[in-house]
Amino acid sequence: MTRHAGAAAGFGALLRGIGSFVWLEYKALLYYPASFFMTVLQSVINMGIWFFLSLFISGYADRYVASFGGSYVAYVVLGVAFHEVARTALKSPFLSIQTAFWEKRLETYRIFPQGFWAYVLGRFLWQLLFALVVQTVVLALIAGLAGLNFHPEANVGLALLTYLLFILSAFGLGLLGASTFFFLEVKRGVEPVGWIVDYAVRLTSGLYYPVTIIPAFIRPLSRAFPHTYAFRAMRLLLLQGAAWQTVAADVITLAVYAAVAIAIGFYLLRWSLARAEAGNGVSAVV
Amino acid sequence: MRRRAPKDDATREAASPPEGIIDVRGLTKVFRVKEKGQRTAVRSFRAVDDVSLRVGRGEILGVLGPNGAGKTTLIKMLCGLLVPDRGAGTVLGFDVLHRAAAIRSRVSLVAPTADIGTDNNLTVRENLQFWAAVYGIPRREKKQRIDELLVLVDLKDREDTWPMNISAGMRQRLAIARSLLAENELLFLDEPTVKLDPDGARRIREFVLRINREDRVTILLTTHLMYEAEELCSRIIVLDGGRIVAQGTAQELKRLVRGERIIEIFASGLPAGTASADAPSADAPSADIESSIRLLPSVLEVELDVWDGAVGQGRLLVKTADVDRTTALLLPLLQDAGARVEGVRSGEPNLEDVFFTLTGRGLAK
Repeated sequence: MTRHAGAAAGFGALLRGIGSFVWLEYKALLYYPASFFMTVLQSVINMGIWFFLSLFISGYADRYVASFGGSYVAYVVLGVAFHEVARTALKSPFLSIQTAFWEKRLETYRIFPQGFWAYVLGRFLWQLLFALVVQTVVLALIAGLAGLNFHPEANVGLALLTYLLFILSAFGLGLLGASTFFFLEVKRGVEPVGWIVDYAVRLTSGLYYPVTIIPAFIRPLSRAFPHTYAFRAMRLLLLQGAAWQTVAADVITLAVYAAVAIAIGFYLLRWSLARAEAGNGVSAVV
Repeated sequence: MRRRAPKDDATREAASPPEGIIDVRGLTKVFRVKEKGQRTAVRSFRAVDDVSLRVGRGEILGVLGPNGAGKTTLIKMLCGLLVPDRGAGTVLGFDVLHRAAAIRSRVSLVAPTADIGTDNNLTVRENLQFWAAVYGIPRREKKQRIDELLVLVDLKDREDTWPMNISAGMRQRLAIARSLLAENELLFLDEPTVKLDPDGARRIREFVLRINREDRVTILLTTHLMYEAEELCSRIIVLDGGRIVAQGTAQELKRLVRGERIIEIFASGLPAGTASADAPSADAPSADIESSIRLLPSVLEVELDVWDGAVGQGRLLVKTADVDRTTALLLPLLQDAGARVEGVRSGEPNLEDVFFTLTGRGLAK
């Protein structure tokens, strides 16, 4: 055993590390399978509430969303499903760091190459896959039982690309929010960036109603969040069967948003880690 | 091996072993902590103060000191988890101030609590499989290395057991096995036997010696157990209040006591309400007896530690220049004070005696 090879480094090692954390989460799921079914049930109930609520006011609301194609029910159900997945991406980095901090594992992960990032990215990947599966099951259930009037010529590939860019944008904001963990007193509390984004988009981005019905002075705020572009593009693509040209501006905006948010998010999180280690350490309460 | 002399850097330099794997000078770390109940007031706390040391390849260096001495902070600076506020030097050839990431990726650390990093949803073997993947160990080598380590840490027959169903000592060995997966040549063990029963602690010590001898792993371990440091370490540094107060081999440190000896007396019926070192009180009942002992000829230091106030059970440490004379005067004095002496020790000095000589306090404080 006298080799002193040391731990592997590099992108390949990072990918293997990410895979390990995904495997760890999967093992935990096998250990507590009931939690998977309860999460699915919780999402079905949550979506069921929105489904019946939108069905209830559909007669009145359909005309306000006619420009997107489909009914108000489809408008809301798609929005809520997409939002739940993006919300997972937004919250995951901070919650992962918070969990490791209180379980006193942050330094254990930090000590080996890529460990911290493998943990944050691995947990994110697992939670994202989990949320995608749950929301797909819920959407399939509602589409099967009630119908969602997807356009027969919907550009599914472009919709998936838009969805991916949306998730990456939310993840970038999540990294940015996670950086606050090391320099604000939020160790047990709520992460402010994610909290602001989460509530502001519910109000302004067209999640439950079109942006056009909110007062004009609030409307500019909606442009600050990727959700606004993603909701509009995906509804137009899936419900109206819109062509690429119709949603190009939204998709390009999302691509730029994702690139910038992830770059800034990674930079700020790295910076906050370095700052913590130059101060009292990553395991210390501010 | 020298005593502390606050303004003289040379006194804190260790003898320079060949092939210095750790070579640092003047490491200092100041923590800034918020005062309780205050929103803005920040108190500075010097956790490590001007520490210099060198560790040679294949050496086991012990860092001995009581809780709060700065042992863990020193380890964190040396393994790249904390950036020193002042100082300079290298670990494995990398600058401690600017190459923390490079250091982190080449050292192993076992934290004081064995459960840290051990996942209870994975069996013993699965835990090692998980960390092997995280460490980027190639698939073809993984099984062989895990098998070797399970044998080495004597957990082969527990490989399919959940960590929650094995003893704390076994979990500590699992944590050490995890840290050895990467085959780094420098291992930091922070209080490796804390919270373990005597047998579990003994097995960890045997294991530490084995990996040092057989695998040439350089080890820096912290402990507040004197016998552990004596048994394992080729050299020892004694930390107190963030500063090195002495360093050398166990034998060299014991020579610091010179003609002075410690009399250790276990007794009941001792006066309760001992004035603590943090909050000395002349009104404490123990103050009288301590004062009386201090007045005895040849007595240099006195420490009274009563751990069961109801029956006055405790220990008295007396540093004296003349053991026989002091003992002859001390025992009647204690009997007159109502104490029942249950045991007296005044043999060869050990590291706790050294620490008491240097600081006037026991290691348990």
